[in-house]
Amino acid sequence: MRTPNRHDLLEFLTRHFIWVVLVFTVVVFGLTIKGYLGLANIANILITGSVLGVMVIGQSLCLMARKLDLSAEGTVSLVAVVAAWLMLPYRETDLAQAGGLGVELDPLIVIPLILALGALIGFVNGFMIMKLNMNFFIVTLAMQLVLRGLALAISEGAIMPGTPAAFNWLGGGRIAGIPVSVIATIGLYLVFGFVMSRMQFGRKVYAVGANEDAARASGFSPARTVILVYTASGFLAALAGWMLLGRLETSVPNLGIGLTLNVVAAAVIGGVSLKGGEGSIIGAFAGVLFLAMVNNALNLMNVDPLWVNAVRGLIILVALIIDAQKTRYAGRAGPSAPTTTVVADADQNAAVS
Amino acid sequence: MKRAEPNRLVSLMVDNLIWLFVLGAFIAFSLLSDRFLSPYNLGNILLRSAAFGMLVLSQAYTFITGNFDLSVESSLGLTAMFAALMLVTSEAGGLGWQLDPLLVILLMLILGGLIGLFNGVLITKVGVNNLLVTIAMLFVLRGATYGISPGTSISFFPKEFTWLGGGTLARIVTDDGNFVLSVAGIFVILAFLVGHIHTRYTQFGRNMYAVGADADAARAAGINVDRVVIIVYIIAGVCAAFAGLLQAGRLNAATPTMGANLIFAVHGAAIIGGMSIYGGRGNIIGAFGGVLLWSILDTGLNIMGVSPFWIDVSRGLLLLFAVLLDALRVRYQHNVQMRLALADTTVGLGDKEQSGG
Repeated sequence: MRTPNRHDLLEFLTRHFIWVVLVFTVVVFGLTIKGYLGLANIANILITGSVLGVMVIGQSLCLMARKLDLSAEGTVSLVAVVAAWLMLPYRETDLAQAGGLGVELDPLIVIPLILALGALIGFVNGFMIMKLNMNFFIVTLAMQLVLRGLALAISEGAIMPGTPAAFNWLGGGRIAGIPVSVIATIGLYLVFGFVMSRMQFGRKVYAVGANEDAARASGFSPARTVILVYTASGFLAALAGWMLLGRLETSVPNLGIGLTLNVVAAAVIGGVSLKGGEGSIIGAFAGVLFLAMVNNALNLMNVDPLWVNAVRGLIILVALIIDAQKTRYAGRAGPSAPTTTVVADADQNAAVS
Repeated sequence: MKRAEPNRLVSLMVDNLIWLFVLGAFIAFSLLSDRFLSPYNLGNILLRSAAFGMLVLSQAYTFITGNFDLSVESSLGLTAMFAALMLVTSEAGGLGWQLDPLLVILLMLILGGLIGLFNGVLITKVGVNNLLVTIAMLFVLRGATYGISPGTSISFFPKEFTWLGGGTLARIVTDDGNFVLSVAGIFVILAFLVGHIHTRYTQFGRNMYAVGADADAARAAGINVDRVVIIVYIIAGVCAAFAGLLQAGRLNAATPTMGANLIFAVHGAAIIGGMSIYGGRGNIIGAFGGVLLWSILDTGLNIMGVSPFWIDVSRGLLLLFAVLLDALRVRYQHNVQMRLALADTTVGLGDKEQSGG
């Protein structure tokens, strides 16, 4: 045990830089926007952040294994459409509004079904990538097209309103005043944070991401690990779809469109590298909080809706530029180039502290 | 012991797999639909791929150096809207300046180049991750497009402005309908040819491949990596502005959503055409094959009366099939190289060629 010195503190700050940015953001928004730190608004930030947050976990796992999952937003669309289709009573399509298939399954059957569907989609992705050696970028991109197309084809492009209350519980329910979606999301972050920093599986993911050949040489099967990662990503995307549909209570076939870019941005702002083998689930959580807070602030500040996207992009850009300076500093600091073990240790520290 | 010579013909086919796909898709649609081979449709395939093709070209440039530019779809929208504002009267939603079309075209190309310059400087000099910068720019530019737009589309541009995107070079009248040789179709072919020559046969092009294969090695070899990357981003921005010009010209309108959500399809076409997101691989002509394939699928499925909802599904499935074949190709090439290496050395340590994933 060395005594911490100034250098250690600086290193600690750069490694967990996103939290510094986050605190700064809270202070700035809290001081400038009236009611920003009110209980209702904090709940609002967390509720809107929860769907994004669940998807970021899956994407982070993929990024840590030096992969990407572009299909997740397609899974969200498909799962939401399939769920509504199976649960709602039949009705003729009119005014771009449709009913379900007419089987009116119980939500308790539909929920496991859609989660299994998501996991299956992820498994198929992983299988094609690892067993058939297909390029992960195109596989998941093609999958996104297939899934979104299926969602549109099943729903015939129409919305399906009025999902049952039992189904909406995850997205819209509250326990003791706290939104269920927020509790679920935080729970998932704790579980996956533990898995990735403390369990063998997490180490394997980092190892595969850092160097797949070396991982193979060290005696475990990268294929198995990556297929599991994609299966988890598909499962989480389905969960996010359930959550989102539960909140909206209406299936919209374009649900989730454009989410991927936000998801990847949140993960990377949170310190998960696109080059694999780096970052932590806790860091990704910070990235999600940051994006959710920015979105919420833009709403509250009454920014002209036509300009909201531009301002949000600019804020993300500024965060990235600041983040790049941190990387630069870390690079200059020299020998502490992150290797797999260092990262794994750092995560443990983060989980402990 | 030189019996490991691979079959020449098979190798040639494997190297140019994309063109087999293009040919296969073309023949398949010709057999499946009698209207696919109509002169009108053949002209249409090229015309419809023009703006999309310019985006793929921009992506091909960045891919070769191992970079991304996701912002090009928004650059397309912004440059088109920017031009529209300066072209039309204030009653039609513009600023009422009604500037000279040629000046406007020049200005929009400069705007595209400046966006590229900004991306390139942030990536190389400030050190921000290329994917993230361009994602952020995708939001910023799309947002700015909405912001400067009157909230609706702007249409009816002067003829000089729409000539490149919507003009006709020749119209050949046949019994089956008219074959229209569009300016845009010829332009995009020329652009890809110039791009191919530029990347293959100039020093700058060789530097691009070197940077994409290994930036550190390229730096060590004395290449100014930052400069190469910045110039590539400027080229990508200008290509995106051309795409905006072509699209606005073809539609004779600019809408704030123009180009939105195109980027993944653009990547799909480039990668099917043999480019790699890890850089240093593929060639520009192959990427053009990717554009043609995408466009043939689009028009073919449309003509066959496939519901638009199922077109995405079939597109995705065909994309998957193409990647599967590509994976087999990589494996084949790997095996060939292994055999050659084994034939040359008795030890037979294989090469370190990365496989597709």
